[in-house]
Amino acid sequence: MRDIIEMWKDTRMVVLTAVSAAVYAATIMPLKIIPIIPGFTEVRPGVVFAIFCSFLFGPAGAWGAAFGNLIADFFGTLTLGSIFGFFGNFLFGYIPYKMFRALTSSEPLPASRGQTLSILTAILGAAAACTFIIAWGVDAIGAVPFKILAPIIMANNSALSVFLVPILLATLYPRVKVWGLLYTSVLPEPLTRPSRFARFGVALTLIGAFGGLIAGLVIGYIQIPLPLPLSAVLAPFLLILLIGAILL
Amino acid sequence: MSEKLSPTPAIELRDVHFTYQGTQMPALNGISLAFLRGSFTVVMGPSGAGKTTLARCINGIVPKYYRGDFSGDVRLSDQSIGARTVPENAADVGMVFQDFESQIFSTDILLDLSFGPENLGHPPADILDRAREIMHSLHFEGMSDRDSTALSGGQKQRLAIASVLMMHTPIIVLDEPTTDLDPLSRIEILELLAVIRRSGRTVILIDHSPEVALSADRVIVLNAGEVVADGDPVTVFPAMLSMPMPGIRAPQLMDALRRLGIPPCPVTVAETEALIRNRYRVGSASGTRESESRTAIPEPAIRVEGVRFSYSSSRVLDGIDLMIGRGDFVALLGRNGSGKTTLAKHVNGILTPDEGQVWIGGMPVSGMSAGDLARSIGYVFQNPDHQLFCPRIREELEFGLRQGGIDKSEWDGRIESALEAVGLTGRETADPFMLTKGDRQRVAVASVLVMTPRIIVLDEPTTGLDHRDQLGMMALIERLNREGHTIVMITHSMTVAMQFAKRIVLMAGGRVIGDGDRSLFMRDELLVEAGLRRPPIADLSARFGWIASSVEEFVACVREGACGGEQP
Amino acid sequence: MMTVYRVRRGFLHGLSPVTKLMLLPGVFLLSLLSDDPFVLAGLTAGLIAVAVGSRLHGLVWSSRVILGLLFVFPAVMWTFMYQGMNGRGFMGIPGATTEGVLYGSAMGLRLVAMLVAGLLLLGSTRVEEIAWGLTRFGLPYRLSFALTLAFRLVPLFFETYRTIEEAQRSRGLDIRRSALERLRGVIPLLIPVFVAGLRRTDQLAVALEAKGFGRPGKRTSVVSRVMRAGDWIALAATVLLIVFFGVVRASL
Repeated sequence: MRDIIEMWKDTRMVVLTAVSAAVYAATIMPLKIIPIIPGFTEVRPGVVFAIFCSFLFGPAGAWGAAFGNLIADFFGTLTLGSIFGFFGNFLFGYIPYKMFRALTSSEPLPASRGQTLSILTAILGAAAACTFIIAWGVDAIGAVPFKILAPIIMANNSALSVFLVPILLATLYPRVKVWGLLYTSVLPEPLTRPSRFARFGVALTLIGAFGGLIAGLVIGYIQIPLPLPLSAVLAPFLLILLIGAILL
Repeated sequence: MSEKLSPTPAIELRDVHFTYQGTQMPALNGISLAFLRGSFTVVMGPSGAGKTTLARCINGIVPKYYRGDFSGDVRLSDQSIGARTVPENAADVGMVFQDFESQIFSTDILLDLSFGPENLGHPPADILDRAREIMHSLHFEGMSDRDSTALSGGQKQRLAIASVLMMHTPIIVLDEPTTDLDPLSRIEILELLAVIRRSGRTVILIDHSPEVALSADRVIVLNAGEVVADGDPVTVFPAMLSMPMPGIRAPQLMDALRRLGIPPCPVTVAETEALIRNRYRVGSASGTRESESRTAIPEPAIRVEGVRFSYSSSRVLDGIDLMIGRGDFVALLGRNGSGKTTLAKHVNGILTPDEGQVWIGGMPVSGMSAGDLARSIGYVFQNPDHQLFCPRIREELEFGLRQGGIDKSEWDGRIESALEAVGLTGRETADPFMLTKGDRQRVAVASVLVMTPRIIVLDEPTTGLDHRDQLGMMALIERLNREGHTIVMITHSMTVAMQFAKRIVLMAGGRVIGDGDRSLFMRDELLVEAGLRRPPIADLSARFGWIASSVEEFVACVREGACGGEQP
Repeated sequence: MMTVYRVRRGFLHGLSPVTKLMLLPGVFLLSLLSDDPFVLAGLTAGLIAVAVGSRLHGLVWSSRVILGLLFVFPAVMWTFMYQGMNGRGFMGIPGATTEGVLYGSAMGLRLVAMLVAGLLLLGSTRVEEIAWGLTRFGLPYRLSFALTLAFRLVPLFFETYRTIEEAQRSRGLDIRRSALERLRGVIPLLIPVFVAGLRRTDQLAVALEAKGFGRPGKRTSVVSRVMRAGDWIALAATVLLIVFFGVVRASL
């Protein structure tokens, strides 16, 4: 957790944040013209960059995803949803590298089955967490129901990523390493070490994200009558997810 | 000039050695230099000589940002910067870099000018006053809230320099600030430099042009991390003429004088003309000379008819008619925004004309698929990084073959001959991203050659390459032309166009304003319109009534006393 | 490139970025306080009046397509999905209820109001001013700077992306093929965009430090502004509106 604060002392990380954000924004913006749900989501092959930058630039990738999404909104679709977009995308960029480091100490390359599995787990965990937060928030303000937005964002976040991120990592990770721009070579070692409770954090994050998603969809589609708004019912999952992310 | 210089050095390097992390060869190998307050120094040398590393040492970027093995001492006003960080040196040393895009941090001009002084904690009222002054002297008046992304390359680089001037540093270091610019913008930057010199600051400029160096107080030549020449340009260059150094071009006028047996000294074009006329009888010309006479009109490879095209309401091409024959070698010249690249993109179907039609080998481009086009016309983009994406050179070449549906049995042969053509045989497994820019450019050309297109379009193939790589690239293009490929080359360099192209097309304002051989460069009004400036040797020969593309050609002609008359 | 900021001398341009950064969530909150489509229509109309007063109506008009979609989508969706107490039909359309139509229109107008408010902020405030405003609320300078730098770099990468697309198309990459081909087709686009960014990283960082970025000591800012009477009036008006509709809502 400390790394997302401490990284700001390094100018390289500041620039990597801006570069990640700009690349992300520039690749999601052109498609804003053909929205799936106007103002909230569109087809996003650019999401691949958010995850990919996370594996390479760590905390700079996390901030980059959050800023990139916000900047894409700055070009015309700034609403209250942007706030959830900011947090959702921050986790989208935060979870992959953290979860991967918690699962294995090897490099994020699809070289062995273990590495590939860890990469995929991290991608899906991040996609689910991001989806859950945004769909929860947008439902809470009454804009778009959870059951409609969640599947779209989840598909958007994960469908391309599970294929493309491993390919991109295989091609680019070794080069970025040579250029000395991996977060593990920019930041001092103590900041890149996983925390003691990291594995516990992985479990909580996955439970919170997937549990919340599934619960929200089940409630939405089976039409279970609720005494409270859906957002209140799902709030515990959000809490579990956030605690998990902090522990990573 | 020199009597005004005060004796305390502004900058002093004491026995500086530096080797970048992960490399073996030292970038700087025992450099000891002192730069006097208020002096103007030009640093030259082939690529890899250590010029940029030297510049980086002066404000601590080496070894504070780029790490490695450093020894020696760098002192500013007799204080060691050893313990200071790069931002702490910012109040003393202003730095201008080659890539103007990476030096602009704000969205409008005023804010960008303010960025440096804000970091130094200057009061906002002072900053705004100074900005007003600088915008006035740089012709940015009334543009303070202009979007910085909407500026031209030359304006961006001027902005980058201005925002460094805003910091009021006593020292300014400029690392090849004109490399990425067109000739007119380069001249603007050099004029700006003259202004800076008058302000009494210590200026260090890294530049390839000996003509610029002639106006400096001092020239330093680096090679392999060592100082190989240092002194007044009046003494350094004549010495260099008799003992040429690799990767450094001699001043053309001085070189011409020496080869003609006249003692070389720094002179203007008019003075050189007088010196030569004193010694040689050269008839003033009436006609023009051509590098190659053109015979019958060949079969057309490309035909452009009445093409008009607009980008979001601004007209970029305004009625282009052009016929390019099979086997021709056409150089397309003009200033940035004249429509050269837009025209080239119509030829390979990337853009579709609003009006008019483009034909390739008798077929309308609009009716051809991406695969068909890729097979008949190859396009090498300006920046090779925009084309390459595979981890190995071989895969890069296979990409085009696969897209073009070429039978697998042909792959090996095609790849082999493409690599051979660009001189990369045996490097199939190398990673394109780790090569030098010159070699990446070669891979980009090879990736086009595997498709064996009849026509090859190249956008600025020599920009950003050093002298040696430029010559290598041009030799390659010339050979492709000899082997029968039709070449269309966009370039800023008159020298390159004159030396290699068979035909020159000048563009301005979306129209063709001149089409012919190098004698076009005799016409001053065309050059002004196309934003070109003759290199010194062409300027000199123009006074004799023709256009020489190189010193050798000029000298040979003067010796024969046949200038302006028949071809040699 | 379609940046939203417009150089004008209007009412909103004269306000402090700090004020505008408070007005935006204020308007968001206002739009959440009512589910009544007529109240929300009034709010939207008020915002459009502000746009006209700030000479930003052109900007709002140029966003009419997205604004229209933003209204129509939830309006239609909720018309069918809203589960009200009495299921009175709407114009005989199967599945549609009058309550659904009203609620849907309210949701649509809520989004329209939010988007117009967002446009007003972005149209009247440069990103550097927003960043400065954010530092007044405690955001560290380096974070706010990363935001402005990213904003400045977007057009650059946008341009790069377009060039790369052209470059790959000229090598025979046909983007109009099947879904799987298209999926594979983005790799030759994404990798060069990314590499172009990386090649710039060191140059940007070095140029930044050379300009004194990160220098110890106080940094000044030419966009800094003090609060003036207009700022306080705008804030007070918004607070009054929020209190009024808050009380109305609580009393329902």
